[in-house]
Amino acid sequence: MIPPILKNLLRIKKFDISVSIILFITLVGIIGPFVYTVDPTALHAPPEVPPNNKYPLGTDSYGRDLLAQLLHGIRSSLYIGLTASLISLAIGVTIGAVAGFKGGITDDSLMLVTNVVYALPSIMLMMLIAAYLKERNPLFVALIIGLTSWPWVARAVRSQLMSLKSRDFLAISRMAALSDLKIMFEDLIPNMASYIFMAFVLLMSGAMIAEAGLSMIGLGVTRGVSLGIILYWAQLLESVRRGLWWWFIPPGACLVSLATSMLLLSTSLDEYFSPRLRGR
Amino acid sequence: MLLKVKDLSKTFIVGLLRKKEIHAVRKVSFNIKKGEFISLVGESGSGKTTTSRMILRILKPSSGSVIFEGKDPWALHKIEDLKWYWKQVHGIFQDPFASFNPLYKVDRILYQTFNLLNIESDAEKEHLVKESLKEVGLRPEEVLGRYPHELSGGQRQRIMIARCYLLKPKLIIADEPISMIDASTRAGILKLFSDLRNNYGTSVIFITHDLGLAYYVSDRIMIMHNGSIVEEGTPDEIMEHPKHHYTMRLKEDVPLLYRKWKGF
Ligand SMILES: Nc1ncnc2c1ncn2[C@@H]1O[C@H](COP(=O)(O)OP(=O)(O)OP(=O)(O)O)[C@@H](O)[C@H]1O
Ligand SMILES: [Mg+2]
Repeated sequence: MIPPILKNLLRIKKFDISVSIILFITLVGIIGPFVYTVDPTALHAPPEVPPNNKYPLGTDSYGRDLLAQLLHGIRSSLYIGLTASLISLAIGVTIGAVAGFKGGITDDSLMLVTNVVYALPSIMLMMLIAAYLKERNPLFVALIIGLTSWPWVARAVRSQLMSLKSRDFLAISRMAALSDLKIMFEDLIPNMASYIFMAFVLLMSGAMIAEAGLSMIGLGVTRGVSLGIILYWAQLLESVRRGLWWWFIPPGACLVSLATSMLLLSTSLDEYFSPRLRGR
Repeated sequence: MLLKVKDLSKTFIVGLLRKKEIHAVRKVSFNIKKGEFISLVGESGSGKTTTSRMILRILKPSSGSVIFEGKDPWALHKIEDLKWYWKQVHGIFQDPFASFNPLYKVDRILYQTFNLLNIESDAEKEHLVKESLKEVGLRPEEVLGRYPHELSGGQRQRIMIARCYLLKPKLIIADEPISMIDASTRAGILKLFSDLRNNYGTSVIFITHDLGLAYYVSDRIMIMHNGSIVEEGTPDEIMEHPKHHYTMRLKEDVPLLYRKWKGF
């Protein structure tokens, strides 16, 4: 029933642990808001109440329910992470693949663009764009992150492609006069699928951290909540100094466990796939 | 003249900081006539594979020219012209493991050829594929629908030969095409090459490090050493009056078995 690849992967402990954590938090973020239907922006609870029966994770200084905030925050942080990483992935893979495949001037000019974007301090770029937009919904934030974090993907995909290009089966397809596009989609990209998936996981963890970073300096979403926004308010109202632990620990823990599980997942995938794709 | 190779050279540049030049092929020249079976013999690293890839229009030469039926394949760029070239000149690579994309069934290697041939009907395609497999001594049902890692090296080599049989090119460049095929099947495969020559006038460049085998099958033998062709001639000339010291060394390695058969 289970495909053999998955069966092998499930034997790796790191893989099991990281996937369980990611799945658990993701499910909480997706299903949670439907089960716990409290409005995360409503201000009518008593302020700064520690966790109790009525408010399982307590409330913040404005009287907002922190469990509701956390559930919605996970959801929109995941949404931002996913959208941003898909944008980066699309740009990075396209540029890297075309550069590596075409070579010559195409390669040189695409790599120049990539290196310029790579060298730009992306946080500055994000700040500039973010500060320029008065109204920032999650999609905007995802766009800002996605448009600035693709260069390493382009470089990695390009170098992967260079090594695939010298493999004999590519020459075999070429001798059948398959078009460049066909060779790209039939021979190259499928052989990089696992690699691209690893890049995706890394991008996603990076994007969620970047979202929190932007929020912490006041340039996050202006509507709705995200994990970064909860932390922003917690920091603004000095929750750490005042010992309001229920305010900053849950969102911080969620963020850190998501990001580290994704790193862990990507190393376990790397351990599994790299030797298989290299040698065989 | 079917193929003219003139001063073909390839220099690889390796190393990032301290660049080093490797002269893999140095000014190789030779001609091939229609229906000729030529062996290219040389030890490991002598430049045989590199030469074949330049003729196959896979690896760009550093200098020199390849002229097939009056055309330089490296000057062809339109897909129609390239289809023509690879329909006429096709190759079998040395490593039957690397020749297959591990993600696809082996059928793909054979069906790819229809990109070069004008065959519309699916039934006809299937018939031709099956026929070509039988021709190399494989039962279609034991290989079709399977993945490369499920087949042996010899089976994969034979699939690559079947691919050439499907195309019936004017020139086949076969890089150690039978190295993993058992002795009893080898004779059949060699006969296949000679049938192609007799029926379709196919020329063959047969790459091997086995001078005995080359003696047995070829019209002409070229000895390659260190990137250059150091000697060429008919099998008898090469065996009886080797001029180059390297050929003499190679000759000493020919197993006695062949000598007995051929009486030298
Ligand atoms: N892509 C490459 N980059 C650098 N050097 C190369 C490359 N391909 C081949 N060479 C070098 O060129 C030389 C000739 O290699 P080639 O593969 O043509 O030899 P060969 O005669 O086919 O050997 P074998 O019998 O082992 O297949 C070798 O020294 C090899 O190391
Ligand atoms: Mg070789």
